[in-house]
Amino acid sequence: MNATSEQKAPRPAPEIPLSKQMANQQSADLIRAAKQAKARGEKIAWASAVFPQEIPEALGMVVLYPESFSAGVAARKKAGPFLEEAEGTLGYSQDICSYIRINFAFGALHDKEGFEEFEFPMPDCLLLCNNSCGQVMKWFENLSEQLDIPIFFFDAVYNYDEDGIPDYRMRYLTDQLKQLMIDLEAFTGKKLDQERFLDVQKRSQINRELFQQVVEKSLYKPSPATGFDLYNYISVMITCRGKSSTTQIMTQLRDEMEARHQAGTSSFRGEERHRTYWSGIACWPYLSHNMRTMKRSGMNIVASGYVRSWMLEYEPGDLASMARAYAVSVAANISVPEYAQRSADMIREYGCDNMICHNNRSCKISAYNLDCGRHLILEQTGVPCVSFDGDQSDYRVYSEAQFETRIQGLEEILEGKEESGHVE
Amino acid sequence: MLNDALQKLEETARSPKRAMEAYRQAGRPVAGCIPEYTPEVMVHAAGFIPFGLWGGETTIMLADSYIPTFACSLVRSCAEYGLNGTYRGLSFIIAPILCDALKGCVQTFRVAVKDPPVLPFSLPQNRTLPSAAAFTAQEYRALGEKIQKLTGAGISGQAMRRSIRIYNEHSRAMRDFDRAAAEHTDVIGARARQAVFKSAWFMEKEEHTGLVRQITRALEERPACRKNPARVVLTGVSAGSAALMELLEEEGFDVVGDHVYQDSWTYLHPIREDLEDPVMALAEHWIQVGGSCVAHERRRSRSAAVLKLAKEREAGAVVLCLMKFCDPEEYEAPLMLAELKKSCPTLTLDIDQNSDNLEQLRTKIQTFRDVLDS
Amino acid sequence: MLTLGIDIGSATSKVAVMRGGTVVLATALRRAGIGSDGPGAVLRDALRLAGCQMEDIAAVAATGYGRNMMEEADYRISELSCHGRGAHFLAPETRTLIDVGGQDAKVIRLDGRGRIMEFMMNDKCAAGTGRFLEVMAQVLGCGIQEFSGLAEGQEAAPISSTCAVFAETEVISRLAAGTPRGSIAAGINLSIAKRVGGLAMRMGVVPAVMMSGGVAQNASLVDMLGRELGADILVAKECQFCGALGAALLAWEKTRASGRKEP
Repeated sequence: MNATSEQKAPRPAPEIPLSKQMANQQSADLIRAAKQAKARGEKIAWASAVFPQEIPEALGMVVLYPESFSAGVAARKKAGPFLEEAEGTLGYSQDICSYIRINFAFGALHDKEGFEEFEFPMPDCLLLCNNSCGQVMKWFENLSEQLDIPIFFFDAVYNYDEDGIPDYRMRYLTDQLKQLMIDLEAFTGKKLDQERFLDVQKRSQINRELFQQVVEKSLYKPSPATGFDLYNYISVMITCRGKSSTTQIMTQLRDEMEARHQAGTSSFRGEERHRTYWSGIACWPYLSHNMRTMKRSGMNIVASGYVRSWMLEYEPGDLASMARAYAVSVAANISVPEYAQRSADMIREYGCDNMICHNNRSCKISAYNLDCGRHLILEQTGVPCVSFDGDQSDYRVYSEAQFETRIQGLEEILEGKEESGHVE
Repeated sequence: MLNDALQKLEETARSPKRAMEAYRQAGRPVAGCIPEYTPEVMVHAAGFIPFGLWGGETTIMLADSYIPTFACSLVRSCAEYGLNGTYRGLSFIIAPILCDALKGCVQTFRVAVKDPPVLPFSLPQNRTLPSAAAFTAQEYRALGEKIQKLTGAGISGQAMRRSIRIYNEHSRAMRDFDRAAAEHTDVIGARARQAVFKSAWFMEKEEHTGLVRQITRALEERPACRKNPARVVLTGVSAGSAALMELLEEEGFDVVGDHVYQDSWTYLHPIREDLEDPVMALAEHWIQVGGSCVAHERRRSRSAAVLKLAKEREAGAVVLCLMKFCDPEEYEAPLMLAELKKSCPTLTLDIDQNSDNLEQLRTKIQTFRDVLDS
Repeated sequence: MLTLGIDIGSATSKVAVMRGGTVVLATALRRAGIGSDGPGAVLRDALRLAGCQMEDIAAVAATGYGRNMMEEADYRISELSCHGRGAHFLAPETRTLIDVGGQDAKVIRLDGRGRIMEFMMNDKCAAGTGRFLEVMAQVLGCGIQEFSGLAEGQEAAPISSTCAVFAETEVISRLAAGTPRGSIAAGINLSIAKRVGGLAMRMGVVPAVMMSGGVAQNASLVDMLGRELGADILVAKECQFCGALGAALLAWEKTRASGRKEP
């Protein structure tokens, strides 16, 4: 920022941590970069949340993430007009994912009066990876048809069992990455520099390692952060995990958390009487209600499987290991016993004494994993568990009263007033 | 002759459970096939009677704690039958991973239904990639090995080729029936037509082919007769219950063609018999699938296919049978409806196995009839 | 020739008696629908008001969810067609008709002759139906008539839940938080207006827009719906009889077309 005039540079409110300011700046920079790229006549892309970003990043292609955008709209409580447009004029069912409903509506409204505040340049192509669910495929098919732009696709193939990925499936996965390089080179008219590609892979691994360190700060008891905090940094990992700005943000965040731990403070404003494992995406429109209610019961989120979806671990330079990482890291793309095992491991590792499940109307795959996997997680850990109805960005399918009652019920169990078990 | 064959098929369509019991009592091993695009040929070649698992009208009790209420009724009722033991007696179940609901269904079987065991398999979606066909073939081979490991029944190349011939023969018979039925709606009303297609999922193909051939021959001996001027084609995953077909009949509609997976759509293309590797032929069959909501296409072809069919069969309207909570269908519906409506009046009917709202359906169908009449 | 239309809904039964497809001789309504003595009673009421006997009626058309139980009916016609025809009779300029009934909401596009060109209905969920309104009125401890007055001119408190069960708890917690009942009632109306408005937008709204069905008497809701759609909404004073009138009209048209003798 260039503050040459006598105008005072806006002073950030003191309570916003530096890491968060950096993250905000990063996301503003990304939008600016997209606009500039468009102005230069370069092609920009929209990508699904866990696409192999290394390839477009190495090509210098600007990639935006509409799921993050939708989450932001919902968190700012501005989803209403979008949901109404999607279900009204556009004719989509309320049953489909609300991120996607918001996005469809954004496509129809972005250049209309009254929507200027939503800056999110339209794409020239779509980067699709179905490791997060099957719905993204149908979503991008519609966008591709309506905008008349191509889809570049990495089909991650669901891991239905625990036997690992057989060689023949690895070949299909790796071939797709190779094809993506060829296709995106042709589409952007740029040559993929292998050295740059390796650098991006290395950078992505550094960022993953840092993010892991951040997450693991919650191993401290009490945790120096609330899990809801981390949700605010996920978009950094979604949108920029191959960039050096992310390295700075994650380093800063890690150090802030460590400093808080050293000082005996936490961003959790209550007393951490209970450590919660949160299953599922955040209920963005009611994040503060969730937080307030849980605080009253002394429950702090210290672990969440969702956060780990962007910890893609692989060997830079080894394309097959990168393909594998994209196929197995996301909880939505693995079998239920595997998912349950990972959850149970985290519950034990982070010393959680309870589990809260967001029965998310939008994210059906996570609801399937949860409904089916909960039995296995409880068998393995014995922690009491509640689930509540909600949605990642449709504010109309949540009941504050229901959430409060269930959290209270959970607290009563934890305080030993009842036998442990599942609260319906 | 015509009536006997029809009656047999209608009975089978009405009570698949009884058909399954009959095979088992006759000492024939039966294997469940959850739709769609399940390679029944392999099950057949392994010596089992492939049996389509299409759920059914049932009250969901046990499945509620494994599969959320916002999953499609097909998957919920399949899981319910698995959990309550209805499927016990099947040697195994094979199931494709084609949508999120099927992932949930397969995992429910793996976690909570041990008998019968479920053998899932994946189908590649990036089908334009050259290695997609090889992947499909390998996945089928792996499936074959799992079947062998579980039951001891191996699948030889010769058996595969024989089964492909039998399936292609059946497909031909079904296509012939489909065309003949469209010109004999005096005998083959919507309900009978659906029964012929539905029963195919629950009967050994050799026997089904014979019965369907009898019907087609009898139809061809009769003069063509179109019962109602209101001719429609259907599209969807499943066109729902016999009761819905009865409603269409009662309100004066002739169903003269469909792009419904459970009905005729699955018979559109034969499996190649000229390839040396029959498993590859089967794999290519998946690679070639077009116009399906669960198979990714660069340019979607379904609306055009439905309209072409309507034109061929001289149908003046389309009915979209929209499976409630079927994500792939719910995503496609708005753009597809806009496309269809440009050329043809189109009615959308919600399909839900577990709570047919027949009165609302009747109101919609009646009104649609009024719209077409005016 | 006298014709009679009877509209048997889930909560009410309505009858219209017409002469020659042009003159309304009588209308009658009872707050009892399918499975009650409402249909029989309202039929007697209407005949008495029209000053005639059942034998004088040339044709009877039944509509509404109970239409198939009406043994005396010569015709059973879907309520969409009847509402469309009735709306055309009440206001021929109507091109979009919105009917919110007890069980479902319908949006109908009409041509210049009152024929249906396209229609849409809500899905099975109760959101955006008369039933939703009824449940909410109960929570507020008032009747459906009183409810409309309660909401009149009030600032709408946000009721965001589209699920009837959740909305109920939302209303209860608003009451507990001391939100005035009027504001809550207005919020409920707004929630339905948005829901029904969405359905209408899905089809596309062509003026003039008319609203029929009992819910059309809820003036605050009609107002809000008009704002959602950006269109003025006509509400005929016979709005509840739209279906019955349409049935009587269609009975007349069909009988004339089939050349049935006049008694």
